[in-house]
Amino acid sequence: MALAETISRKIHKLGLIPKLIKLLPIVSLLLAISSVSWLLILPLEGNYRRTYISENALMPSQATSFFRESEWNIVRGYREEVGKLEAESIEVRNQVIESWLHEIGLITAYHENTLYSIMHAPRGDDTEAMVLAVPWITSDDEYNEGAIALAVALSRYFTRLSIWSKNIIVVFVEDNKVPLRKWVEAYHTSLEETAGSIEAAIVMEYGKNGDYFDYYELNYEGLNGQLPNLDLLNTLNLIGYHEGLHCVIQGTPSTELIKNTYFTRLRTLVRGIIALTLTGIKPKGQGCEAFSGWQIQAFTLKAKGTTGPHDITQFGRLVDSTFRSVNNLLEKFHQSFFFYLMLSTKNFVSIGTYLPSAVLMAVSFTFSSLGTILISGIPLNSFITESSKLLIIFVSIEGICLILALALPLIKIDLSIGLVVISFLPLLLKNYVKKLNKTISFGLIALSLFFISLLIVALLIVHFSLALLLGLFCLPLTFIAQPPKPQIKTLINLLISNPFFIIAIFGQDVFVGLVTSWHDMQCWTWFVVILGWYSAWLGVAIASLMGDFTVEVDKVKKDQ
Amino acid sequence: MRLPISVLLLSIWAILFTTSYAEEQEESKAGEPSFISTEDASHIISKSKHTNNWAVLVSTSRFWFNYRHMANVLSLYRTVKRLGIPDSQIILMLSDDVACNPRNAFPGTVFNNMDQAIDLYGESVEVDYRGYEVTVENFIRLLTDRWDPDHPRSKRLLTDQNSNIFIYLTGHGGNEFLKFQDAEEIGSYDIADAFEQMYEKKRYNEIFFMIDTCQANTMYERFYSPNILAVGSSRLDESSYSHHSDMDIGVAVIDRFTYFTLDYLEKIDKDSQETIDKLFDVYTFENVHSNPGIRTDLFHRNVSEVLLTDFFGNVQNVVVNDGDEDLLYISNHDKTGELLKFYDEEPEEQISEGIVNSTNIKTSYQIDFGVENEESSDQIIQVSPTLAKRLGLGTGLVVIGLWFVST
Repeated sequence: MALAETISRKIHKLGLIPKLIKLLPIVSLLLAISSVSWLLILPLEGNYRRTYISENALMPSQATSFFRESEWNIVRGYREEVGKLEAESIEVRNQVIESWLHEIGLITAYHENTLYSIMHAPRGDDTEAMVLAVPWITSDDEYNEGAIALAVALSRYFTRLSIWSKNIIVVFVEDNKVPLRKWVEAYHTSLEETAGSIEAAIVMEYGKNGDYFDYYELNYEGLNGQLPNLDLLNTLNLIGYHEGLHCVIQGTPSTELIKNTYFTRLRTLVRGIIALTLTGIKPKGQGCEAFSGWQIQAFTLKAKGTTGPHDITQFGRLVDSTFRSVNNLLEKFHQSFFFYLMLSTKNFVSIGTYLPSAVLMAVSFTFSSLGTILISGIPLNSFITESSKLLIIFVSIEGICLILALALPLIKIDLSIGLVVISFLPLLLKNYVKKLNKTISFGLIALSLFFISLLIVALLIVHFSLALLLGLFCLPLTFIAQPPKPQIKTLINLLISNPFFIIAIFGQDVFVGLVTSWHDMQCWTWFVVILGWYSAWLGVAIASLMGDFTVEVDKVKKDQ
Repeated sequence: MRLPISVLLLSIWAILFTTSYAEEQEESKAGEPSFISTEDASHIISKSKHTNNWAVLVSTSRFWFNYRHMANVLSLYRTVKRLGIPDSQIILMLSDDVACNPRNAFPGTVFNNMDQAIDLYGESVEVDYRGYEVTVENFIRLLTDRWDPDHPRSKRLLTDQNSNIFIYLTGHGGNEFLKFQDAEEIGSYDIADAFEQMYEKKRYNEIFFMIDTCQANTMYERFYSPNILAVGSSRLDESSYSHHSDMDIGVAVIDRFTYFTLDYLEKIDKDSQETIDKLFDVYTFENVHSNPGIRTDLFHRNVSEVLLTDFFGNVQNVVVNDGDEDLLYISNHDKTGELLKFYDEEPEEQISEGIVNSTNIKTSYQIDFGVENEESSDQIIQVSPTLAKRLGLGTGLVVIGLWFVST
C-alpha cells in the first residue's frame, strides 16, 4: 500500500501523466515502427526455424517411385497427341482425354466444361481422396501441354499400383481460377460422381517445356489467409530434395536457387505477405487457392526452364511420391503448422513468432486513438454526451459503405480512380456545409482509429498478412489529428491511406478482382476493405476536412 | 582233458565279451546325432529348474507407419517357434494388421528385411490377441491369469512354478511407460506389480524380459520380484531406432535392437549350448545406436551360465528321471536284464541315410542315459548296464568253469 501510494505521489509530483499524454503520438509511432522492425528481424539467424516433418505417417521419400524412364515414352506419346489439341475447342479436348481415361479403365464425369476422372482405390475404404488438377492454360498463359500429358500418364500409372488407400481424382479444367473453384464447390455440394473427402490437392503446370525442366516453383497461398498444412509443403520439398530438384517460392529468380541470405529471406517473407493478401483478388489464379475453405491442403507445382537436367518423369515422381505420402495418412493433416510465413523452402516462422508484429500495430492505433482524445483538451464528459451523435455519424458511414460493398460488385468496372475522387467530395462541400463541432471532430477521428485497431485485432490470427498491410496502409491516418496539421499535409496523408488509391497503385485489374472476389472465390477481403478500412478512412476524412480543430490549439496556448 | 575245456570256455567268454562290446560301440555311434551327452543333460537339468517354456510376444502400436513393430514381434515369434516352443505355449499379441493394410504393396505379407527373404506372415501364424484386443488390461490379465471362467485356454498363459517365460514388448514408449494402441499406456509399476503377483502365485520359474522401445530401460527398473532377467534397447531420454527401410514397401521394417537380437539368434539351434551373455555381447552402442540395458540383480544365476535355450527354446530333448526306480532301464530291458531290440540292422541304415540333413527327427534308438548320476542316489556301486551284463556273463562262465574244474 505504502509503495503504491509513494509511486502515485511521485507521479503526481513530477506531473508525469500530462507528459505521458503528450508523448502518446510518439509512442504510437514507435509502436508502428517496432511492428515493422519485428518483421525485419524475423529473417535474422535464430529467429526462424528449419522445416521438419511433424506427422510420422507421411514418411516422404521412403518409397521408390516407379514413374521412371519406362513411363517416359508414354508421357511423350500423350504429349504429342495433347499438342494436336491446342487449336481445338474445350469440348473436343475433353472428348479425347475422356476416351484415353476410359481406355485406362477410369470413371469420368463432367461439371460444366471440367472433366474429371475417379480411380476408386481397389483395397481402400473409399472414403477419402486426393486430387490432381490440371488447367489447360497455365497461370503464365501457356498451353499446359506437359502437365495434361503427365496427368493422363500418371492416371495410367496409378491404376497399376496396389498401394492406394485413398481414391485419386484427376481434374482437367479450363482455367485454374474460377472454373476450378466452381468444380471444388460443386464437388462438395451438387456433383453425383464423388470419391469421398479430399485430403490434399496438387495443381500441376508444365507448359511447353518439352522433356526437360530446370527447377520447380511452388505456390501455396490460399484464400482469406488460409495456407496448406506445412507438413504437405515439407513433404514435397523433401521429395524434391531427394530427387535433386531445386525449388523456388515467392518468385525467387532462377539465379538464386540455392542462395539463402538475410535479404533473400526477407524478400521471400515480404513477397509472401503480399501474395497471401492478394490471393483470390489478382485476376490470374495459381490454382491451389480454389481448394481453400474445404479443409483441403493444396499447392501448385510449376515446371520452370527447358534446359534440364531434370526430365518430365521426375516432375511426375514429385506428384507420385507426394500422393504416396498423403496416402499413408491415417487422419487429416493436423500436425505441424497451418499459420506460418516461409523465409525459404527450408526456413519458416510460425504464428507465435510473427504475431507480435500485428499486435504492436494494433496497439499503435489504440494509443493514437487515445492520444487524439486526451491531447484535444476537451473534457471527457463532452465526448460521452456527444457519443450518440458520434455513433449515428459512424453508423451512417458504415451504411454508405455497405451500399457500396453490395453495389460495386455488380458494376464490375475499374472505378478505383473515380472512387478516390468521390472520397474527397467533403473537401468541396466544406464551405457549404456547417462545420462539425470540435468534440465530434476529435471524437470521430479517435473512433475511426480505434475501429482500425479492433479490425487488426480481429484479423491478426486468421489473416495476418491482411491485418498487417491494413495497419501499414492506414498508418498515415494516425498522423492527421495529433497535433492537427496544415491542410495540405492532411490531404497527402488522406490520399496515401485511401483504399482505392492504393488499389489503383496495385494494378488495373485488382479493383475488379477485389469486388468480384466474394462472388467468384468466396474471398472476404473486399468486405474488410470497404466496411473496415474505407469506413474508418471516411470517418477520419470527414472529420479532418469538415471538422473544427482551431479551438484546441488556442487552448493549448492558453495552458502554456 | 579238463584244463583244455576250461581254456576253451574262457576263450568263448572272451570272444563273447569283445563282440558284445563292439556291438555297443556301433549302437552308440548310430544314435549319436540325436542326443546330447549325459553330462550335458545333467548340466542343463541341474542349472535351470524349468520343465516348460512359454513366450509372450507383444507389439503395442497401431498404424501403417509402425509396420516395423509388427515385423519385430513376428520375427521373434518365428524364432521361438523355430527353437521349439509350440504355438500352444506362445501368446502372440499383434496390435495391427499390416499384412492386409491397403498400403501394403505385397498383400498378406510382413517382412523384416529389405531382401524380403522371409515372409513372417506366410506360414501358420497363430495370433492370440489381435488389433484392439491388445490392451493394457488384457496384457495384465494375461500375466496374472485373471480371466472370466469362459476365457479360452488357448488365450491364457498357463504357466506354473517350473515355467520359464520369455516376454518381449515392442512399441512406442517413454520414461516408464509404453503406449498401447495410441489410446493408453502401461507403466513400469504396472508390469513390476504384475510380475510380483505372478511370483506369489507361483506362475514362473524364471522370466526373461526384453523390451524394444524408446527409453526402454526405464520399464524394467521398477521390477522387484526374483528370478527376472531384463534387457532394454535404450536408456532414459534416449530413442531407439529402426534399422532400415524397405523402399518397395515404403516403411522401416525392423528396429535395430531387435535386428541384432535376431541376427544372433539365427545362428543358434534347438540343441545350442550358447549362453545368454553371448547375446548380450551384441548389444553394443555401435550396433543399436542407443545404450541397451541389462538388469541381472534379480536373477539368481550368472548370465554366463544361462543357456539361450532356457528361454528361447523348449526342453524336449531331455528326459529327466527323478523316480526311485530306473524306469528307462526297465522299459528297455526284459526281466533277465537282456536289452530289448526295437529295430533291425537294415532299416536303420535306411533311416540314417534318409535323414542326412535333419537332426531333429526323433528315433526310437536306445537312449544313452538313464543312469542315476546324482549324489543322492542310494546305489553303492555305479555300473552301466552294459558293464553289468558283461560282468554277469563273465561271472556265470567262471562259476561254470570252476564247477568243471572242481569235478
